Amino acid sequence: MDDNSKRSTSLPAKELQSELIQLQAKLQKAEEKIMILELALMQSRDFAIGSAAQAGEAVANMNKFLHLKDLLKTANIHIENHEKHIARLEATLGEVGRANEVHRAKSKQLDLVYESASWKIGRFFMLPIRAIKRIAR
Amino acid sequence: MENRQIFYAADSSNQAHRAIVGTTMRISIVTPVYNPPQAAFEQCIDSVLGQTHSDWEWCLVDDCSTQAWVRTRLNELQAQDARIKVYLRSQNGGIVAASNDALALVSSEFVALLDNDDALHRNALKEVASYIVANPSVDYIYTDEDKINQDGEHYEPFLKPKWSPERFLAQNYCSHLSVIRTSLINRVGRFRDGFDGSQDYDLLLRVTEQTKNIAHIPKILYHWRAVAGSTALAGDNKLYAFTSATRAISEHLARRSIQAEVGFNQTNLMVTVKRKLTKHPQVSIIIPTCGTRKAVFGVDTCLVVNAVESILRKTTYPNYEIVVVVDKGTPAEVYTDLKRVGQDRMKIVEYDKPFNFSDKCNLGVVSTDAPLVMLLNDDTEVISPDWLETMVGHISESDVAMVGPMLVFEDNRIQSAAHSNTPTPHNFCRGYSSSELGDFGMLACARECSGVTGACALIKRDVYLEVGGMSESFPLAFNDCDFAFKVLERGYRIIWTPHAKLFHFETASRPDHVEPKEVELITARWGRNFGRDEYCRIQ
Repeated sequence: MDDNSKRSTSLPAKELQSELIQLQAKLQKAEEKIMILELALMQSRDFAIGSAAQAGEAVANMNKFLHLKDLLKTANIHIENHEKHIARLEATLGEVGRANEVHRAKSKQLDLVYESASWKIGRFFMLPIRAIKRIAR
Repeated sequence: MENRQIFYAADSSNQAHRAIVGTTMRISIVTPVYNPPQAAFEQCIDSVLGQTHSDWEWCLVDDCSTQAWVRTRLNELQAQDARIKVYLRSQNGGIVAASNDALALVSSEFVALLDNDDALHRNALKEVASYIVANPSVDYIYTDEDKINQDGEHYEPFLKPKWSPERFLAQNYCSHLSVIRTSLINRVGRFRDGFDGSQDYDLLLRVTEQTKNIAHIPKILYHWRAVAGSTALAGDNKLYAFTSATRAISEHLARRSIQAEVGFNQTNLMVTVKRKLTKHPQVSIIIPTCGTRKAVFGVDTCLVVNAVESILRKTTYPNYEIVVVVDKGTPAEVYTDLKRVGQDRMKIVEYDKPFNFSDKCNLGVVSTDAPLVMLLNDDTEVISPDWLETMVGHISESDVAMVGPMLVFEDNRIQSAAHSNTPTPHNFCRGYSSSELGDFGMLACARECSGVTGACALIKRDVYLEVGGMSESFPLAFNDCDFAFKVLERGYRIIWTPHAKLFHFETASRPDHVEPKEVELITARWGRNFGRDEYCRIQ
């Protein structure tokens, strides 16, 4: 009776223990699998987030590039306008230079006239008339 | 001087401004008046009358000034400009009563608070009005500020961070200029008696509890007058104000159901908030190591054993485990020592791949299911026994994902006081004395930041998994910066605290060079954020 009872309790206990060991091994395997899956999940998420960030950065850079391109275009228009303006100024400057030359030549001629004996004689004879004019004023 | 100029509001065409704002964006300026210095008050008046945005009203209340010229001048002002409303109190009631009387005169949707001896930048209302028109749901706006001395010289520009609720618990950094939706001020009960000196802090705490629509205009629009006896000149001139501030914070935390000890530090004039933990969630301290030895305080030491030993000896937090991720090939005596020191709190995970800091951290995180993970370098040593309580306290807020402590070198100089991304990611205030307060107390208070070093960072495990952990694309450097960017992008807050302190014997356990590939990658991912750190605008 005693033997039987011993057999009946020890057998299921042994079975249960081996079952428990098996389950523990399974659990450990499952946990390892979860770890591997979690690592893979993190890798995927990081890849997705990182790629999105890189895409965002690329878009930002592209916008910056487009903005710079726009600035460059505007700057080029400005440069072109400035160049035209410079050309106009240079042309005007040339005209002014030429006018100056004419002016200088005329001034020289005038100086010669003032220096001439005929001008001086003329002024001498006109002196009384100029005096009368001054008094009349 | 020139540098400062760039933060001032630039003049734009008034015609263009009117086109944007229209003529209906009226702002009420509220000013309680009590015996102001005459010259300063005149400058205050000039600054309001000279506003480039003309749609304002000015509500002035004289709190029964004893100097006769004040009432005369106020009456003159009222007669001079129809936009100026004046109320003369028959008896002195204090700043709270006078401010509330001034609020009673307000007829517009937004209120700007102006002290009677301070001045507004000429574009202050224009900037604020434009912001409100562009963002009609905003409830509270604050701006940068500077100080002016008696000679009218500007100094100490305060370039403030974006809305930082944690920092706001330590100091009223928003202060001037504050513009608040009138209905919200009325809803929270206006200024309260018993908070003299910190009545605006108390008001702002109650306002910010009620709304998330808080904005910061990063331009200096307010000039705070520093006169003898004012708080602008020396904080400790009005110690009673700090007593009121401490009480305001205590009540604020109570309303938010946060249990905390609130104190006031007379040395740095800051309020200290230490959260009381009602729960102690498990923290898994993950230490990647290869068993390096280095002289620590002159003694040849196995770093990881020293780190673990310091954790076990000093930490008062009850619920934690230590997961050491060990490179294959680590000397056997390191294992033996770890097992001896760590006992039942220790878990050892073997890593058998080429060195990759991120990968080792990730392996550590998946090896545990604790809700909080602490990434910790093996070249660290605990200083503050309550380091975990302090950090867990911060991370218990739902939108806080990551918390970092003050890390110091052996000689107590700062190794890391959070990250700054201006001009490029780096450890903020590295090499400074750890007893310094930093600009506007940045080194003395817990505050929001753009990242903390991975050498010691407490992270919610869920968030760690959500953002894909530490990127294996950064095996050596920038993995923590990249992680922080990912966390911030998802709208979480990162907190740095000086109230948890550890030694960090830096670069002892890994190569100290930076791979060009990593620099390229971090720039390719997050380069647009460099140079514009919204939490740390100091270069």
